[in-house]
Amino acid sequence: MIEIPVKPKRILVVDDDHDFLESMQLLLLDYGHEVIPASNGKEAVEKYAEYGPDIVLLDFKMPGIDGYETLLHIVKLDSDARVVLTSAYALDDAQYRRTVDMSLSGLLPKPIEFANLAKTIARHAK
Amino acid sequence: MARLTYRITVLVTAQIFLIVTSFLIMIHFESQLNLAGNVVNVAGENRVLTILVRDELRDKLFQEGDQALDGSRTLAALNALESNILFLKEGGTSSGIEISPLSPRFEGDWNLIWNMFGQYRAEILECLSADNTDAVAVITDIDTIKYTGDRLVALSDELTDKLSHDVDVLLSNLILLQVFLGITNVVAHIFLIFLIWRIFSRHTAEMVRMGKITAVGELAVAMAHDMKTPLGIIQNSTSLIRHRGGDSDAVGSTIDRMERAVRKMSHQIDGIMNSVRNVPLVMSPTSVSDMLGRSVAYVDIPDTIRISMPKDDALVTCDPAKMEMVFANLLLNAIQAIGNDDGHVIIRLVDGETVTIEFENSGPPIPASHMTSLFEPLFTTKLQGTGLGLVSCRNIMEQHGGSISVSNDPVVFTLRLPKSGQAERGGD
Repeated sequence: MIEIPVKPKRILVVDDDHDFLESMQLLLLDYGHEVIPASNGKEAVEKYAEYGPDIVLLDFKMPGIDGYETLLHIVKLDSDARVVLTSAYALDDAQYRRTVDMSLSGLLPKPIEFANLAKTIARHAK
Repeated sequence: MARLTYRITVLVTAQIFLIVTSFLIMIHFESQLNLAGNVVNVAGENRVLTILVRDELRDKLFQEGDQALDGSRTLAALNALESNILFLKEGGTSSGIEISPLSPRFEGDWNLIWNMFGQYRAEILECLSADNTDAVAVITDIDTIKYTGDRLVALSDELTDKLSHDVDVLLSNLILLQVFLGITNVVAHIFLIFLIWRIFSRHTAEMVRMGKITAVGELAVAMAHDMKTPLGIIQNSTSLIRHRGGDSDAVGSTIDRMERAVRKMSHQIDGIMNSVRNVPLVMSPTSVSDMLGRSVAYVDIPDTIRISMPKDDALVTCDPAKMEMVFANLLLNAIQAIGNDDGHVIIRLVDGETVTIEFENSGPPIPASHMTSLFEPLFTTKLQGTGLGLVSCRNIMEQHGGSISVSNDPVVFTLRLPKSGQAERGGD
């Protein structure tokens, strides 16, 4: 197996699924990244303000404020924010489309192959 | 819907235009026929008036009583004959009858009549002014007048015959025109009704298709989001196990299998999603050759099948992930069509105004009855197919402003893509 060398980054992972959040956290930690988990939009915005992560992995469908609003709040906090959307599609097409159009560092739909994840982090994180 | 209304309106307007035009043509011809018929009547009147003049003259000469007193009735009949001959030439309206001026074709005939009338009038006026005491002279005069009158009648009849022949020709033309317009109208109406029927039936088929898709779609969209997250968890976990020492052959190959299974499930979900929804495109200029390479790597290709890749490359602005899905789908279909036999898939690339990518396979031709259903949702001949693969391909191509088509023998699927990403925003 080829080890992909990575530069440690501070990564905010936002997802309302506890297991997904934990598995992502474990994986990224294993590769030496610092992971800040958030299970909803509100928490994500608060943690963004608190920790100033290098990159955000953002889910679209979440209870409370959705991915789009979370994205708006984050951009308001930091105009240079790096956000990757992890949802491939959503029930609310129009809102999702706006999010895709705005999502600053692109789209990396689940299930995420680690090679792609590593590449995206290397390319887009601060 | 607006387009449908527009097309129906155009067709109905065309139909109304055709009916109105036909009526106007018929009315015009009918009035021509009426005018021509009136001319024949006026010409025929010459015969009657010529004979009347002679009868009046005879009455004056041979009969007793008031009629014998003067030649006024003869003169009146003579004037009526003169006016009638002139009316025939000049045309216009007289006593409520309208005729056109006499056609130049009949000028010779009319001149003969006019000259003969001149002679007839001269003889009658001479007879009226003569002192009619010599019975023999009177009878000679009458005979001469009768002879001239007969010739005038003969000339008039000749013209009348010619004119009525014209009317006959006109009438038969009118009948032909009626038949022609009738047939044209019937054919045009049948054709228009066929067009309208076709538009409606297509529209209905489209509605049925959309209905099917919507039903499947709502369920699929609801499931997809929820399925993608657990798949994401499995994917993350396999990556983690691999990283934490899953290097041994046994664990490594198990993880490979799990990851392939995740990829397949994810691909199935994508297939459903792309066939029912216009998932937003993430566009970037991409090498076709790179995308083909990744698609080929994605598909399990049996040793019996040779894949021939294009030598050239082209750059297109597209959503690479979606485009790779289309390529992989076509490749997979081709491989499944070839089956267990030896065979080949030839991929060709033509870089022109649009980029054309062809997938030719050596498999059997597609049955003619399947050709029209290929791109319909839920149509499949495979045991393990969803019937959404080609629908997804078509949706993705259309979303990119491109197209997909198929030709048989050999089976070639052709993709056309605009070079510079003229993606449509579908949905909403």
